[in-house]
Amino acid sequence: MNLALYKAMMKSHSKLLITYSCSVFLYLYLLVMTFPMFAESQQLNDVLKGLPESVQVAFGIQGNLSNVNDYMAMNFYNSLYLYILMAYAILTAIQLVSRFVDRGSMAYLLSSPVSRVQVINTQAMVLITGLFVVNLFTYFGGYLGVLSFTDKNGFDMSIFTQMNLIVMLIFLVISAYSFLFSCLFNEEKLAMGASFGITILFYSLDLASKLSEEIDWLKYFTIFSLYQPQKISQGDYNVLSTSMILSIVAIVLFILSASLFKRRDLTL
Amino acid sequence: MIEVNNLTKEFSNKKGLFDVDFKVEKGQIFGYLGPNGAGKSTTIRHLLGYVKPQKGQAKINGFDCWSESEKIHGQLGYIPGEIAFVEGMSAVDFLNLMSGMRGTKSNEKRNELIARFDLDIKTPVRKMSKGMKQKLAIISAFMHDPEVIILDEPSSGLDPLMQREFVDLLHEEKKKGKTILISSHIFSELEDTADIIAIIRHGKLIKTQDVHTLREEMAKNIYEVEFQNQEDVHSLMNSDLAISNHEGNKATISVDRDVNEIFKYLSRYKIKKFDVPKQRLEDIFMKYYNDKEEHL
Repeated sequence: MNLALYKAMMKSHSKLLITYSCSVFLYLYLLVMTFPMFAESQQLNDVLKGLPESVQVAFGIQGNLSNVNDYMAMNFYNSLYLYILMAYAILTAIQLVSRFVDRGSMAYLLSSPVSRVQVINTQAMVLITGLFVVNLFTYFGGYLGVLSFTDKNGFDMSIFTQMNLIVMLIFLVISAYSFLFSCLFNEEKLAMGASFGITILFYSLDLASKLSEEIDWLKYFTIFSLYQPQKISQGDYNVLSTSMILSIVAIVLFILSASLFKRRDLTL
Repeated sequence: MIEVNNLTKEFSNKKGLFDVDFKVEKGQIFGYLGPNGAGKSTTIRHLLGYVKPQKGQAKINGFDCWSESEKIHGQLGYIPGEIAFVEGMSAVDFLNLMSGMRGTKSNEKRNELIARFDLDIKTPVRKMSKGMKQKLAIISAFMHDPEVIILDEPSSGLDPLMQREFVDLLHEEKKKGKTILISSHIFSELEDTADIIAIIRHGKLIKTQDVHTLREEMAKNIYEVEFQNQEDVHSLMNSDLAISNHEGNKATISVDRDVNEIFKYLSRYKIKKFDVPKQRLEDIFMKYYNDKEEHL
């Protein structure tokens, strides 16, 4: 890790990071503002409950709209937030290595006495920092929303924290394999295609496994089967062991990225 | 000191480098000349440690360029052939980044170079013209006072004034005992700076020679003369001058004897235009290649 590079990268990345962070913060904050209206509407809850079980599972809407934890999980964590984080994690991972190699600016970074492994580790730190900041803003957005607009009675802080932690770690793994592609491919497009391709495949497998009982074994082939805000908010999710596994996988992927990048021929 | 021994790297399209051998001493400027795609940049990529040699070795100051590149880079200045700075930065941010990564303490030389090349460092890199980017690249390559300097086609995009400044800078650095390698596909770009020129084509070095000898060899020794009257060309044909070519009122005369004799002869005629054509790179290649690889 090299401090000068880290600072420069954070500076040039800051605009994008601030945009993402403020957007998720505001969105979740304002979303919680609408909670009291829905919580009182029994009709909407009935409509949702009327949907087929498998559809409820697939789209993560089995919860209870009158609970603010469930409300956030259903309306944000299980929908928009997923797509925002996908875009952020993949685009940032690609920008931090593959784009520099593709456009040739990596030549400058590697002409300094900072080694390849150090450069890659620094870029990985930038990615991890960014992901952490976006998640932190979401966390505070939700929390402040709950403080401002609800009576806090139904809100469970510990479950909310666990949900945010698991979401962040899942996306740490997604960032990590995107970063690995970013380190492996010369072309930005190729790295981006591979990262989005795999992520969308994972997402589709997860959706398919939930929609039909017969193919629910597909859930063993996708990281998104771990993405269950509902289960966390209902308390039947093994947070500790899952977070450990996700962290280890992410670390292994980051180490692999650096060691493969070190051995590669670079067309700079 | 730069040492390249039997460096070989074959790409899947059969291009690459084949047994390239050369040495650049301290206080020497080495000109690396060749057409596009000849292998200049591939050699430089090896020197920077971006690619691993298939065979042979590249060494700088005794360290292996692939496995010990970090030990070399602190004392290395480099201008890449394709200049692409990190996006979204101003020139000063970029220079700070490079100084930071190199751990350079003093900004003295950097400020001197900024003043010398007259660069506005507050400009964002993406708004810079090609010439400005080139200046920034030069400053970044020289500002930490490196011992070894590698320049991949460095002066394209500079105006003649700045080009002059750049050539002066190279001579100063050379006097300080720096080891300098410059690549180019234009001979005249190396003519003013290089002590030794190596010519590469199709991944093989075809000639390594000091620049004075090469210049003499290269002087084409022909005059192109355009006469006022076309009849003069005919009367010239009847003289014993060696006319290698003629067309209309133009004639090409080979210099095969004392120059004065030729002029004495020419002075009888009214001459419209007189020219000593410059040797082009292709001609040099023809010269060194014709006998070897006629049917490439």
